[in-house]
Amino acid sequence: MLTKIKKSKVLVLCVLGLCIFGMFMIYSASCYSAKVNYDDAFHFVKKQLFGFVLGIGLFFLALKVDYHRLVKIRWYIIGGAVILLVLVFVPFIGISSNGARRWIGFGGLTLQSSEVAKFAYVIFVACYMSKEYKKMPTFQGMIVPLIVGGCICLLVLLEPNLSVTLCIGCVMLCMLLVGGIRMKHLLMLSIPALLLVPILIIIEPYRLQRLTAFLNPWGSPKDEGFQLIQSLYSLGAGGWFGLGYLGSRQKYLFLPFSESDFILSIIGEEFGFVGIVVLCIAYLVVIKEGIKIALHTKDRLGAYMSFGIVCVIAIQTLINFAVVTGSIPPTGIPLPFISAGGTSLSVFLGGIGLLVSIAGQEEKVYVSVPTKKQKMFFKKIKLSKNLVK
Amino acid sequence: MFNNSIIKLQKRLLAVFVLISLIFIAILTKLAYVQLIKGQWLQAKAADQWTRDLPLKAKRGTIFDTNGNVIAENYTTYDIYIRARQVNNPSQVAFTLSQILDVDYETTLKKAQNTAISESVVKLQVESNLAEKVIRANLSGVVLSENNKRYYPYHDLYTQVLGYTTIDNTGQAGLEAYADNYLKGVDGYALEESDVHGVKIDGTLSRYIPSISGMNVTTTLNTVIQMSAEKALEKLCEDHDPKTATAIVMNPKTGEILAMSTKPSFDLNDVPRDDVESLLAMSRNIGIVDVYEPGSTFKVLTTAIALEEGVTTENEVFYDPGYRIVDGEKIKCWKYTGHGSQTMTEGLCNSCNSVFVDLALRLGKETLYDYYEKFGFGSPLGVDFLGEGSGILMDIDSAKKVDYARMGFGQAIAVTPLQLINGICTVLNGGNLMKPYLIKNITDPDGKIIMENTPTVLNRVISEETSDRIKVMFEEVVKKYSGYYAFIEGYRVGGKTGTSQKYENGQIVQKYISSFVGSYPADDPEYVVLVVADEPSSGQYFGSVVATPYAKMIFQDIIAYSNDQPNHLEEDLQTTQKVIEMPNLIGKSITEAFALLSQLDLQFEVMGDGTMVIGQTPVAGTMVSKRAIVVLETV
Repeated sequence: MLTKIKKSKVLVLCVLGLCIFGMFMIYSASCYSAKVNYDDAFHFVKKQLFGFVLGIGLFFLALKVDYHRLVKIRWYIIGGAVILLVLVFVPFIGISSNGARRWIGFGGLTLQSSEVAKFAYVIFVACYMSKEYKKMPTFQGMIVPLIVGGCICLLVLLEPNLSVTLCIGCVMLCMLLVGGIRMKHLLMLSIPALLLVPILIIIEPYRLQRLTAFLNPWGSPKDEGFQLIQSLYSLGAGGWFGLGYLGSRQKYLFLPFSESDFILSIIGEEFGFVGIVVLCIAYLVVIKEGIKIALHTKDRLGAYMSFGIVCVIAIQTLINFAVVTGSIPPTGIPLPFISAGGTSLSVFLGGIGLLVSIAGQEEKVYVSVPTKKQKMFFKKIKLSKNLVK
Repeated sequence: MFNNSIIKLQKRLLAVFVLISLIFIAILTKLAYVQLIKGQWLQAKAADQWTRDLPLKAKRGTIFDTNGNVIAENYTTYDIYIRARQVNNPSQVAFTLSQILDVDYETTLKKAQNTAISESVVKLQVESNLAEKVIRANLSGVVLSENNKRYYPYHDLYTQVLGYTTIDNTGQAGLEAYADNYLKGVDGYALEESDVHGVKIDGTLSRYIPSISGMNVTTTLNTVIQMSAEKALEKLCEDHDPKTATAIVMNPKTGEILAMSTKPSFDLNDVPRDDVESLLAMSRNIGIVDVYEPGSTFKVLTTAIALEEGVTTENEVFYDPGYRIVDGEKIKCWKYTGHGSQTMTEGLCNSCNSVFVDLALRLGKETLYDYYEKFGFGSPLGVDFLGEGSGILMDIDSAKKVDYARMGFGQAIAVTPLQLINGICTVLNGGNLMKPYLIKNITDPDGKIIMENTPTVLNRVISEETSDRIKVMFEEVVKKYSGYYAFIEGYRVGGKTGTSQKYENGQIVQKYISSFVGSYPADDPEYVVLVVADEPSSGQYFGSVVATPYAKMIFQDIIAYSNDQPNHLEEDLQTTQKVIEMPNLIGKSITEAFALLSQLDLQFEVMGDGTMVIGQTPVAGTMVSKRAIVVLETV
């Protein structure tokens, strides 16, 4: 097990660094609001620490389990995720907050179903595609991942949680792409997905307001534009090097969700542009390591699964960055490893566990002896990898 | 097939990674724009919400009268606000506040519960004893802010001169407005960092910039004389009910304005802001801003010019048939039966228009206008007050002979009351036109003099010798003629009455302005008093009756105030105590009446231009003193 970790030490160190940095940032961002609202400055930090410990548990669990065994239980996994998503709507179990039902609770613990569903879907699609990889370039091959993905998206959308829906949708498309579907089919999928946007707006007109608010937040500084303006204030105050740790002014209740979805604003305020660039590099390293694992795995299941996990991390990070900087309409999505949110953190750590496990297995599993042509290609890849570095 | 699909997989993996990297770069570019290019701008915008700005109001300067009595000052009040988000027990807070401050419980409760607003006003300008009770009640979410309220210890004294301030202490009218830049001081402020609800953040520094108190203004006004003037005007209003009544008291030697009053007025501590129109009307400092036709009081100036130019002497004899014909136009004297032969001095004392028509014609247009300019008519004198009037002086080229002939006795020319009294001061003080002023000095809060007004000679108008000659005639009018009601036994008062008829839309109407300008002591005046009553409605309108007695009241108070001792009192008393029984004049012809009154050494004024007497004041049988003024009504 330790050898596996050693093999992916860059990845593990980066992730660990992000988690610890995250906890420090959660303290900085939430100490005031937690003191005001819960009379305990460490309220969110404690919850995050709990999620972290749980996440480490999941990490080792994922490391220990041979991921090939997941193929057999893939339907149970996706079934469980769907049950969790449905439970959100069950009274007494589902917990609603700010008009959305996103959590289920048992005992004193709460769990955000959609966080679990994301990874369940990744595992399911990876298993499916590795089994049916020959069918993938055909339309028939896409049907199962699409239907399952569609169901999950629909359930998440009903919470409503548009941002996670978007995230799962993107992961679905990326995985299908890597799974070998034809570009023609990809376009066929993308166009109806894009057409969905106006339909969603018609269903819930507040989304249009959000959309216009993102283009000109100053038009409605007290309503739709408020969150974004507060985020921009944070970033603007940070400048090049930021105000220093604990120096944020916006955390004094000005910036809502400063410890969760908008923690990047506080990071930008306290560590400046340079701080965010460093953070960005850390994420890119994690993503690059993940892609490397996918590339080096000669086993399809491992490649698909590791890519899926990286995909979730990358897409979620990108959406979060884009929202915080005002590049896309505001929508709540946590920053992986950093934002306060126990479920998110522990599930992501579990995902990293899977990644490390896949990386550790790459040596053992050979699918076939590479041909001359393949060797040539691998050389090219190595070259291009170096370029990327 | 298999190899191809592996290659495709790896190709696409790389493509996705490149795509992700590119999106990262795009977002970082946007971030750089926000943080580095727009950073300053965003920070400036955000600074507003990060800090709470508590203004520290500067204390407005005090206004003193010439003797150092406070006539306008500040006292501290408190504005009380409620911050609903910090209120623990809204109903208790609302109840306590409604008890202490006498505000509505329901409204206050709503304010205490309305967390959508960070701060709402409970009550403004609360007296400090009530504010102390609020502080002692120690209510959560209730904050007080100190404020300075203007207070005028003399209430409706000085109304138009002092003016008033807005509720936030900015000068709005009068000296408060004129000297606002000196009085207002510089507001300071305390900046403290706060959270979104305005709660101060512990451990942060507050920037504190103290306010600088306003400067103090000492005026030339004398409260004792002002009170006397106001009292006199109140009596005038009571007796004759004019539209407005104005009094000015000046020191002719320096140009200091000692008192300036206009009625009706209002209590400066309770400015009637609800009725803007009447507020504006009552706020007009008529003495400085309005113009009127001065009438006979102006004859004093014509006399001075004529004597100075040597076109006449006191003893030159004029004949008045009751009118003069100038350019074919008949200019009537008020005594249309004519004053007959009289000296120049008698002409002034009788207020005979014909004499002044002659003098004006002799002087000529150029000379007259030359002097008017030296007296400052037609342009503001530069008194330290906002909105000073210039008066109306006909353009020299369009003034016909008949026009400047009228100007000789105070018609066809309009001046401000201040211009008139200042002109009179000039001829009485030895011939210097002084610049009138209200502000003696301005001192900073430490007492250092920032600005000081000293007597300023604007023009040398007439010689000292002419001035001395005028003083003699001026006293004569009061002693023996129409100014008699200003006569004070044992003291030397000079003066001249004036009555002018008003024009409305170019038509002469039965509305009058009655005035009197007088000096004390007559031989070396230290006080000059002007009283003007606009449209008295008691039936009486002669300056000798409507204005003079009230100027006398002011002189009496001045004498008492100066503690001057009487001279030749006995002699004066002998004259005044000689009592005559008023004869019955009703039914007599006007000429008969004049003869009888002259014989009894009584003065007379005539209403109407008939030949038959149909009414008289005082009525027959009344005991009157010698030289008393009898008003005859004629048809």
